[in-house]
Amino acid sequence: MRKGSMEDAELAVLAQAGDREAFGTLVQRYAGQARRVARGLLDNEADADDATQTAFFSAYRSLGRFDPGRPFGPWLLRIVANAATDRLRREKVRLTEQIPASAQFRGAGPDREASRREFRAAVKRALAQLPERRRMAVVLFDVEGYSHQEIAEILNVPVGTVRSDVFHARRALRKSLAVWEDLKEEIV
Amino acid sequence: MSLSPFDHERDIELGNALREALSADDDDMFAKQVVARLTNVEGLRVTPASWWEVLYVWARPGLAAAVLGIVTALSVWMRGGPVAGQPDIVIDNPLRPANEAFVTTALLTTTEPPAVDLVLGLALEDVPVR
Repeated sequence: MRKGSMEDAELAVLAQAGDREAFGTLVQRYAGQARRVARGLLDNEADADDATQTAFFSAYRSLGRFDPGRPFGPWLLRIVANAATDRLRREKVRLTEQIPASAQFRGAGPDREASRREFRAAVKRALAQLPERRRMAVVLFDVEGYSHQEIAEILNVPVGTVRSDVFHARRALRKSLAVWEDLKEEIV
Repeated sequence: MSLSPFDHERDIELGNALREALSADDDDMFAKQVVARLTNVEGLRVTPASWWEVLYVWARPGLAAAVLGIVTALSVWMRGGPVAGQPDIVIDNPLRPANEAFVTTALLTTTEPPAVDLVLGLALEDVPVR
């Protein structure tokens, strides 16, 4: 059976027995999610990738403690969130200038790619202004599609806190990105 | 889109914007690099769970099973045992002769040999003699 078509739990059991190829398949499957969660927290992409890699290594070492009866994604993303948070605290973040998201807006212009880059930067700046937990909550909910309950397990907080975090994060992001309202469909 | 803390639905629009901002183009390459480093790192291996971790995993269901067992045993015991303040019910043997105690006493206390009709009466459970 090809490992690419196997369920997470089957791959995790193989990886627990020392099958690195099985773990490699899990890495490929979750690399995107893990990187986005780390990037949601860490402004610097290289730092985020470093934290993601550390998290994958840490997850591999800790596989013995993973219960294959439970979903792999939330378990891994909890490790990623911890690794990114550790990194953030250790390096105290390279503070990006707290420029309001609208200040750098120069309109779509003729260069669509440039507008796209600006929009991405504006989203990241808006995200960076949120408290850490709200950033992760909104990324896990609206981008990765995890439920409030799963996010509560990942972030180790009550479900009500996750709901509140997602709500406040959305409100703040929409406010920050209001200036892009007319252009986002063209850009995204 | 209206915002509510009780909203269970994803905000697709905002989600797409965040995905666009946070996604990298080279996830496959990144995954391959991680796996390659994983293979090259000396001594990196899965650490088996220690006995106390295994015990911890089993502790909660084990405790739940024990509590359930105790509750079941208690309920069975409470239902089967006598209720405080209620007199014990003694059911007499309906086949026991009415004067058996008297007859037995008469037989044991007398120094004389028993009368024939007393012995016969006992045998027939009639017990007419005193």
